[in-house]
Amino acid sequence: MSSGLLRLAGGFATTREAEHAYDGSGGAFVATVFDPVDQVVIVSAENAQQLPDRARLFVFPGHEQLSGTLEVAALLELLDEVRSFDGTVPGAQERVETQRFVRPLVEAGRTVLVLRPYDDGTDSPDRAAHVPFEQPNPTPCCANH
Amino acid sequence: MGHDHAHPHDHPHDHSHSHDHSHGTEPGPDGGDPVLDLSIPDAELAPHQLARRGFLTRAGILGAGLAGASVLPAGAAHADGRHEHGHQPSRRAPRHGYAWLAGDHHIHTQQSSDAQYRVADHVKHASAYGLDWMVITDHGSIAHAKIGVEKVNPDIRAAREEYGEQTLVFQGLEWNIPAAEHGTVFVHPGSNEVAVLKEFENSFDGVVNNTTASSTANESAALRGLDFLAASVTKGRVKDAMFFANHPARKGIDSPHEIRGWRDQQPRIALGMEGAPGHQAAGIPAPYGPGSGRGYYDNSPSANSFAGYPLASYVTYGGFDWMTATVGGLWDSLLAEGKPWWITANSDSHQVYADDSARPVGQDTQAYFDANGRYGDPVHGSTGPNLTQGDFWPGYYSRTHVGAEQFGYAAVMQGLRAGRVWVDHGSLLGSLDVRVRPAGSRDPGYPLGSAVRCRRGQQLELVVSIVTQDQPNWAEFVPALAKVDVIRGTVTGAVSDKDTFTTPTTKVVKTFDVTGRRGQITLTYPLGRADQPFYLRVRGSDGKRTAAGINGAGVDAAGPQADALGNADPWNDLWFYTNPIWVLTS
Repeated sequence: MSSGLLRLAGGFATTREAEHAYDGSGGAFVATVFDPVDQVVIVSAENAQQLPDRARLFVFPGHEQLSGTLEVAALLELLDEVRSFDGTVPGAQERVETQRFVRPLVEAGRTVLVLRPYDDGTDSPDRAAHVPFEQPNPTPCCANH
Repeated sequence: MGHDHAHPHDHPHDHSHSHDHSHGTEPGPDGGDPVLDLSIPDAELAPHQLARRGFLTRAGILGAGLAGASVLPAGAAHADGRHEHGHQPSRRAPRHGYAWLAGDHHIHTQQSSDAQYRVADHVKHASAYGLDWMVITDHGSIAHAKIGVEKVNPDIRAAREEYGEQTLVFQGLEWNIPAAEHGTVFVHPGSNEVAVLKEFENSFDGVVNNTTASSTANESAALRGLDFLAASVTKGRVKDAMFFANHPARKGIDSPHEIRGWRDQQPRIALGMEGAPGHQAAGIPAPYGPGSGRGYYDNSPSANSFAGYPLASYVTYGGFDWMTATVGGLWDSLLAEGKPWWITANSDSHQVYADDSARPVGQDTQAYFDANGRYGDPVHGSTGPNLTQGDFWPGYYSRTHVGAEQFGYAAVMQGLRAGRVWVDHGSLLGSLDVRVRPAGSRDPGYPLGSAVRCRRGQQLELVVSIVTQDQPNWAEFVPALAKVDVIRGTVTGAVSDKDTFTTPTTKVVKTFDVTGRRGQITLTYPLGRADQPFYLRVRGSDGKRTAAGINGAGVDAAGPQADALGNADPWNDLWFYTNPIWVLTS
């Protein structure tokens, strides 16, 4: 692991399980990374440059402010980049329904929130057209009931 | 295994080609059975052995049917009915006269812990909605392996008695593929159908055997499972068996090398994947729908996911899985290798959108399910239509159309194995036939799934014959086809990196605007002089939602749009997809 990167815990089956087990320790940035042996590992660093690519942040400066529907501009005050999964970049005034669940990824030391298209089924003029790609409650795998 | 040409050959085609009898190279526990050893001529077999060889040959299990590891010469050499070996009656099959039988190979009953209906509930709906065949596929689980797989069988047999004239009912299961996603496994009906499925599930199901995590050892367990199915057929325990991967890109855990590995391990068992997943109602918006991702494609990468897959792979496009919807994507990379790998479309029906039945109180708990292998029979619910369920009844929305030589279990399985398959949503088409034939000829041509061998320089054409839909679908409107795309790619041969999921030359080469046209539509597309080997596939839509494809507008100018989370009305975004036809020059 690169310098400044702390390994806090490992062996979790899912990112959600890791987040629930997180004890609040570590630096300003706390993320999950995948490992072939330890599955989901919690790592921490003082800045995003110290985190590996694809690290998935669940603690970062200002993360507790991210709830409700926000403009892209507001997200960019905390993150380096916001873009759709297809590579397109939304305008600063476009709205994102955060679902109180914002999990940016690290790419080359930068924090990137990837979005997917969203439609709440209403015609409201101020409706959000995006949600963060990762969903707070993804459909569980049927067979593991 | 060698061939001595002792059996008669009777090829009704006029062009010469060398006979590369390198079929039969697939690994498999054939174990010296003379029926399976094609170096032993038919004349040396006892009558009962000859009959069994004939059945296996017609089913595509034996011989060089298209269900080889590759359509290229190193694999199966001769690729459709007209090019098969002389002892095969199937070469005399009608070339025009396939019965196109609509079906669904992915359906759950009260024997699944997340489902609720009786077998009969599904079969009577499927029959009413026009399905000719269906497969009951309850989840592999400890309770199912112990109890459910047996308990469901009398219900299936009763349904065959009652509905068998209209709808064929196969028994299968939804395999938790070791190290990977789910997949349909099903067998030809027979006295051993339960025994084979039960042994398979107990020995090879990922949940039953705790082998779902991604690892090399678990990937091997999946291959052994396919070997078991192949041996169950070649030993005569069941007449036929097959496997299709379900919702392959949903969670990113079916890596490209696993898919290639299944196919190469048992190319006559591992036949394809869902081009479109079920759960197509899941994107109907709240408050009158689940408001989720279409197909319940709302996942993100996990520790078991293939790290090379982009986030774009976790989303559906016009209701179709990324592997299939991407022109020049994973499916095309397999076809460009010359690897037969077919797509299907199914309901994955567990609990139906707006249905108002419910599990019975007292027989609706996990404890009851675990003890009894099923929930109690559904009862009338008291809370009104359930608008949070994302599934349709079998036949209501998704259809897998199989070109079968007749109505029957074996013929459906043969058609699936041959790749004579196209799929649609919302009953978009009345009928479809796609052929490649010599340009300007009256030759009926070669159907979907074929590998057409021709001389270099020969002029061929693609003929797409459509009858537009003139009946309302199950949403009570008559769908209208707006456009048809011809997709073409160069056959580039085997890839060195088994995790390849792109191919550079495949693109949409022609779009026919058929807006407003009704009745019979015949679209002819000249293929020029045959030079490099290539393949074709056909796709079309109602034209209501299109966007530039993932590989750019130059590859796919008006492909399916990514489905929005929260609102993806399945009825206003209808597509059909065909399986491919290869053209190989010699």
